[in-house]
Amino acid sequence: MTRATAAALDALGAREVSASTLPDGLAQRAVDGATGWLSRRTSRRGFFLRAGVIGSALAVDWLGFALKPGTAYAAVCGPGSSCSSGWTVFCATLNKGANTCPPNSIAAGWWKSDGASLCGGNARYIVDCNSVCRCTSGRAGICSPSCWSCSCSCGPSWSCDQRRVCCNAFRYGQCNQQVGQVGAIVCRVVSCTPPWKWANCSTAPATDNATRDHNSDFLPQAWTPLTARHVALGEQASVLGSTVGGEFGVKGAGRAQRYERGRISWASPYGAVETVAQIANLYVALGAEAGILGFPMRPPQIVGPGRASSFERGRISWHPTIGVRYTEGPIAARYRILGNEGSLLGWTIADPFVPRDGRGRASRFERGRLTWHPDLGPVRLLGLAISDRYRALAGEPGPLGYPEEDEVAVPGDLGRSALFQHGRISWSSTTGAFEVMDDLAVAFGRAGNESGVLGFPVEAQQAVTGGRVSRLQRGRISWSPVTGAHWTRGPITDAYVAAGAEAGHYGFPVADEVTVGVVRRSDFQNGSISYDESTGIITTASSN
Amino acid sequence: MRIAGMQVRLPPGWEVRGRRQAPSVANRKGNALVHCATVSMPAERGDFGSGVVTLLGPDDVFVSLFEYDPEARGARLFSAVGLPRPAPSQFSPGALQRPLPGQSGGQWFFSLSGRAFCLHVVLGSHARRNASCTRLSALLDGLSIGADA
Repeated sequence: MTRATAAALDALGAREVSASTLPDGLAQRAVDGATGWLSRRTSRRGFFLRAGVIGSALAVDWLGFALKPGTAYAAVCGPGSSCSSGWTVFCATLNKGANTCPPNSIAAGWWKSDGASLCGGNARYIVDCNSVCRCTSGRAGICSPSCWSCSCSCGPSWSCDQRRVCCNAFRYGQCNQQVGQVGAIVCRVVSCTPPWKWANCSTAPATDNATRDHNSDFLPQAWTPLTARHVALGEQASVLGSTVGGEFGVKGAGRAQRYERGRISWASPYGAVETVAQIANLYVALGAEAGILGFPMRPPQIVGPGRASSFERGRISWHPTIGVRYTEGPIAARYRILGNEGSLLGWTIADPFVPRDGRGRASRFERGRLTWHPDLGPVRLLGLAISDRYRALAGEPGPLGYPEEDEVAVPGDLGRSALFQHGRISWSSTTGAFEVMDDLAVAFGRAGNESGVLGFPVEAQQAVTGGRVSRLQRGRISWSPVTGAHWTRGPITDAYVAAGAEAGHYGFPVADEVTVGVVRRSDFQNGSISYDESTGIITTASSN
Repeated sequence: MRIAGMQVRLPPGWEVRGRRQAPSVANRKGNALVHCATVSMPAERGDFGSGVVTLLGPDDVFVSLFEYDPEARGARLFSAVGLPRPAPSQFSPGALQRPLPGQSGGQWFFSLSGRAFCLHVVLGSHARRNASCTRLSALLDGLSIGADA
């Protein structure tokens, strides 16, 4: 001890003081004799003796250790793991891996073991979970065995942690001091985080380094990046809660650990990253690290009222009213470039949809849709109005097929439009969003689309007797298998409709409108209609 | 021996070791911890006796007097007031942190001089608890607890 440290301990009163009325040297000789015998007996473990590691093994099971070298170190469950050792079992062993007090027990006290390798060289805390008392009897501290809510037994056969369950009537006393009596210790919870930070315990320190390496096959077996991350998050006090089981390998060189309310995954490019609560549940349902999303890349982000986690191949978001949703693959990559939840699309509102051909993907968002097909190039973006209309038309498997480009603004800022494999959807604030499909869309293109002479479609494309028709702001497109698709507009369309349109005398148009000088003319199956722009006079002619 | 407001006058055949615990949080005074035993105690001991209890012979006794944080004083667990005087009938082989064959133990939570404590006693032999309690009483006769200065 350095002089400065000694002075500091003196100031605290932490330096141990002692006195003795023992017969001079008698007991000390006994201790020294035993230690010497053990040293000789275990001389090949001299290194460990010097390192102090043997101290705990000797204290726990000195005879077993001396007679059966290796016992104290070989077992996953650490020294003193038999029922006869007298120690109490770990809760994780009893609790399907959950490192928590089981029902009908409460934290009743704690101690620590300093310099624990399982806690990265820091203190390892052990909290006793004592049974609650079903009745009151005896003095403060421990109720009589007839009041315990459990009975004495050994650890379960499925674990190497065979220590005692509900046998030891002992209370460390720092936790739940408002409870006058508890029963026996049911089991022990472990943590690298001080218990007063996550349980109803006081800070009064108790130490027992003999228990430093006690463990269970249902608890982490080493100080790893995953454990370090859990501890950094607050361990039991964290959003993840307690460990459930031990760490395990996943997908090649990765590792994972389950917790009460989430999971930590580790892969070398990303380190140890947690997923939490509903996001973790969906992640696991999607196959976790080995699933479609791969490893988490970053800790969860708080996004507005919700949360989101980014993975190698996708993203999961949780919103209090929307719930938990995911995006994956090329769509998730495009969504990320756009700005994820903060983008013009907003939150994901539906899990990815796989169209009937099984090859494409689509995801719906608060304000739009992203859709992708491997044969059609990049992911395409649709805004809310157009994507709503597209969805009403059955989306990708519907008559329009996949979008062939992102939704764009109509020149002149008149509205929006999107081009699909089999047509077009156009939107303006005055007309809403409607489609023009197949050959009618080709005719619409000849008329200049939305910024041309016809303007925006004003209703859904309709079937009529013998064909189909689209009504637009300033005209009409009519199609039949015999005539193909052609457009009319303005006063000619008005006269055509007044005459019964496609079902009337004229039948379907056989050509787009033509203009000669100031006269515009449309030819139909059974005649023509002309309009003189200079006089405003409509002239009709019948061919039969 | 005096430490942290406590005084121990040892009867023959005892060893006492006491210290103030390093506090868990900053700006607190460390709680007192006193160990008494009828055997020589090793330097490395658990606060409730591991490292010592395995050394006890049938007639030996180990005592741990463990102090809690000052806030514990009014808690129900510490409602008993005054230094306890354990009777042989109050010992049990199961009342130990780690029961060992033949041994017996007991815990007494109490408040005294505005402080909260647990007196934990381990007897080397449950069968010889009457004689061991006599040795224990002699020790407790010489123990006084005052306010922590």
